[in-house]
Amino acid sequence: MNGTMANNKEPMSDEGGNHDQLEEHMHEAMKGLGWVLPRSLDDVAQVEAELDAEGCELPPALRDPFAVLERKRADSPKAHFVPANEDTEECLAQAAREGKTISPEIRQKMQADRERVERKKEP
Amino acid sequence: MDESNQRLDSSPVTTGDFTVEEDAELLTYISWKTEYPGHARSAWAVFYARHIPFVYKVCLKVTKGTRLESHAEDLAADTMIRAFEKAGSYRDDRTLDPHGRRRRVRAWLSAIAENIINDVLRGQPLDREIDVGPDRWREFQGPANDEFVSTNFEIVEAVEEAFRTALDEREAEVLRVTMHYYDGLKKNQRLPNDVADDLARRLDTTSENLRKIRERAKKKVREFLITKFGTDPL
Repeated sequence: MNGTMANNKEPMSDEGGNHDQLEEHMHEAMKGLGWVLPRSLDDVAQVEAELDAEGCELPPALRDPFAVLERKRADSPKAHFVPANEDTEECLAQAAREGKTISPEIRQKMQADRERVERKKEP
Repeated sequence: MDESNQRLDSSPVTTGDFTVEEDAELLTYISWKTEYPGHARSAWAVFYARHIPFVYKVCLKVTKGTRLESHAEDLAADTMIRAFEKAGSYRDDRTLDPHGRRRRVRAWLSAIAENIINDVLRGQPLDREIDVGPDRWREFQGPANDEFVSTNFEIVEAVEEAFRTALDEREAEVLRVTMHYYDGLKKNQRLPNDVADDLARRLDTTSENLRKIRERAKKKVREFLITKFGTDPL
């Protein structure tokens, strides 16, 4: 290693020699502190040992595997707006870009598409 | 969340003992969520129960003392959801023993969590889709098996002590963020500009000054080691 993180054109560290070893020891120490996530199988084993020794109580929201999926869907903005098809989306985008009023026909089509999507989403 | 997930939610759990299946097999079943939602649902329940304590533990550890501290739960949930969505991209290594194969899956989950954190540091929303295809998978594997492993635990422990006692909050934050991008095999690594800009904004400084803060932090760590050992141990 000739240095670590850098921004723009300049490396963050321009010192060589035993500073490289310092970077490596710093990274090891951060793994020990949990400041960086485990990457290697040995890192994982270390966390597993801690887990065995200390345990880890899950918060209620993480206890149900299906509730986690459900909660995420409820949080996702994508769940609230599902374009009926690419044409509809493109028409709306075009109308928005040109600042034109949406015609009654287009509005009717939007409503029909929305209802169709809602019906499709129902179990 | 795609439509196949909705179908999965309303599918009955398939009977059969999925608890005896290995992780790679469970991930394969999960990846069949469109074709066999019942199997996927059963496999997901087992896979999730098996790994969520580990995932939550690392999320707690990595966010502790940071601006993401109150989001450990969200980070853990997002990590598992992305594993669910990208289950088919996991590549098993059958040369490993059962413990090794379990740890490989957990290293994969950690890599997903790390990518989410890096996205957040870049200002990306948590629900952004990520690519975990073959190229990214290699990235997930990273330098895992060739990484530097210190044999001098005394020095590593002293460095940990230096982090806790010798650095101010700003120096610790700069080291912490930059180390998320650390790769011991690469020379002259660069912090992505958007990450550096965000970090500089949060610390009310400039991107150029981050380098100086980082060097100052390293100097403090080195001085701490010299004081502790009476000589430079590196």
